[in-house]
Amino acid sequence: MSRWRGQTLTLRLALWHAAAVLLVVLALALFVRQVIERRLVVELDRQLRIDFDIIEGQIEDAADGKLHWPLRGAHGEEGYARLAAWFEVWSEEGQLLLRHWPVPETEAHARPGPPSGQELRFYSAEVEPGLVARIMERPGRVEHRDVRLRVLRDSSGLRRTQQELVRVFLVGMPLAALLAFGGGWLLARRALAPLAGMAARAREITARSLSQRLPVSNPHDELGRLGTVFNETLERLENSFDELRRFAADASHELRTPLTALRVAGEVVLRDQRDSAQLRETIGAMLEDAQRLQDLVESLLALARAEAEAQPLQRTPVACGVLAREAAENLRVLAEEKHQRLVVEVVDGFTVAGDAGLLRQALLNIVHNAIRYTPAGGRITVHCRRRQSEALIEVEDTGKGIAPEHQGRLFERFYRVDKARSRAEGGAGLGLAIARAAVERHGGRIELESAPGKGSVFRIVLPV
Amino acid sequence: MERREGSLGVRVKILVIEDDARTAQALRDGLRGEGFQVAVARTGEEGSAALSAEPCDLVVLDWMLPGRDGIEILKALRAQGRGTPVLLLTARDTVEDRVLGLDSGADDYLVKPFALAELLARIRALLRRSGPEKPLRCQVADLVLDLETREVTQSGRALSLTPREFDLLAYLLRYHGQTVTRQMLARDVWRETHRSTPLDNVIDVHVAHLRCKVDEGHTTKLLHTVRGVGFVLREEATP
Repeated sequence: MSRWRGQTLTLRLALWHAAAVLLVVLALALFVRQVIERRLVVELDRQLRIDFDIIEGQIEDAADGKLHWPLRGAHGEEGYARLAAWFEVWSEEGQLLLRHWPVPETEAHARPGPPSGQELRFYSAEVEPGLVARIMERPGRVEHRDVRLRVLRDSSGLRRTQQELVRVFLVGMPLAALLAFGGGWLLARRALAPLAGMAARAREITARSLSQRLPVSNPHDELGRLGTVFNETLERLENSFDELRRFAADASHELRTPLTALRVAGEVVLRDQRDSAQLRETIGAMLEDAQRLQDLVESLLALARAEAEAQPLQRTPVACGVLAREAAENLRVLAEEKHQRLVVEVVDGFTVAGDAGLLRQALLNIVHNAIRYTPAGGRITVHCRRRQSEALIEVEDTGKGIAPEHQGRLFERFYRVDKARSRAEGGAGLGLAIARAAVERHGGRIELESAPGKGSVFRIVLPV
Repeated sequence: MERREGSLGVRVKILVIEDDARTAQALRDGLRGEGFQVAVARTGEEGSAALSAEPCDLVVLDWMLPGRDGIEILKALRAQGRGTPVLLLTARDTVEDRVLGLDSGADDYLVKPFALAELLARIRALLRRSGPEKPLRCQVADLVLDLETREVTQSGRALSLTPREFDLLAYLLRYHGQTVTRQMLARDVWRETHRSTPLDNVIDVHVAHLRCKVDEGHTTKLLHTVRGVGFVLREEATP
């Protein structure tokens, strides 16, 4: 089996093709043989009926009480065999009255018994060694005498025809199989030729050359579809590689900023003579930068962890209402600082199975985002309800809304709508990315409805 | 320098087993500054030798060490039946790592990078573990907290605090004189273990509110910000 599997697809297809053709030819041969035999037998039987009628009419009841066939001797004794038809006439009592046999009576070998039964009967039998005959038996009447007549005809022609047929098929079948194999081979090779090209191209594609695509000659056939699917996979891979590359660049940039501040502050302190208070001030600033670095690293770790599918989630029943209320209460002081109204509208009584910590983190980040980007005096509403088999937690704000071109990328790591502004406010641009990773980890999604000037709705959708 | 003394009046001795030279030095200086007697070991073998040579009151143990790693040392120590408190330091902070660390016999677990303030708080907590019960009333300067009735008075006058502000003040008061980081507050007052949440902003606002209520109009300020580290509750006259 493994040997068979080790063969190329072309060879296997060709072999299957040949086997299928061989099977069809074999079935056809058997069928043809059957049909021809039937036809020949019917034809023989028709001849026998004619023979019967002629012979029955020609036999005379001689004066000596014996039956007589006037044609006898016309060809001489040795000519018997050349006649097409032979016959026997038997009395009703089972006595042989007259016999015209393919061999002279003296050399006759077989002694078939009297015809049995009263009915018309056809059958085949070997009457002399090597001589198979088709036989017809029927009660007949010779001048006023009831007899039983048996008429025979050599059926070796039938056998010869059959043998010939078998010979034709014996030669023809391997030939057909060979042709089928060759044809199948060519066909399979032609059909699979693009595959070799695709394989060769695919082999060249590495992480560095992900922009390459497989050649697709006909996008509608099976190989074309395969190529298209493969190209789509490459596209996705390329996109995620790009994202990763961008992420690494962004991350180093984000790390570089506090690192620079840290270094410069240290160098300045070393260069100048400073009093103790100034020193403390500078070291405090350096510690703040260290804290920013640490926060960034923590956020990146949180993101990596939320995205790590390998680690199973610690799922417990999480009451969405409680989650929403807790998140809002925790952040309420921030909203109050900006004179915003933070309203919670919750339908209680349902839970989702999830990691409470991760979900809380997601919701805290989204609510915090809403507070941060909603102007003073605005209103933020946290809704929580159930829609069929989904739990919805919506965070609605009266902020300035998000332009459509930003909406798609808002959840990307380090993406900021207003770069200068959010960095000044201390955002690293990871909050929404963490939220999305956490929610998607639970099999959910975050929907965003927003239009400039109309505020935004961030909707966490979780399967219940 | 203040001298930290154990129950028998002897200076508390701490063994630090940490392979990174800078970290080890910073820990030694920091702990000495707090009045502890400190010995440092830089490899697993050195640490094991130091542990068997002379007794110490507490071990600060790094997980990843050249030679014998921290978990091995910890298990060996526990196998000898010694109950010396061990604080495990590590850069690994998955739940599995924590469980492995605590199962191996660590009394506490601190993830790098950490603030010295937090390490000190935890060391004190470990040393205090067999100490007296938490008092129900505590006081700093003229500020008195009743932890049972949750009432706060300052110079005999009742202060009106939100529950969160009360918890915050109680926590600061428990660590009074010591710096408390935002991370400690988030974890112990807000019960939030995930770091990458916007709680730091929330903490700052609550501290500002609390400062308004406690220090406004007083010449002796109690609530101070330690820049880059956190907050501390102590009497300090403003110049």
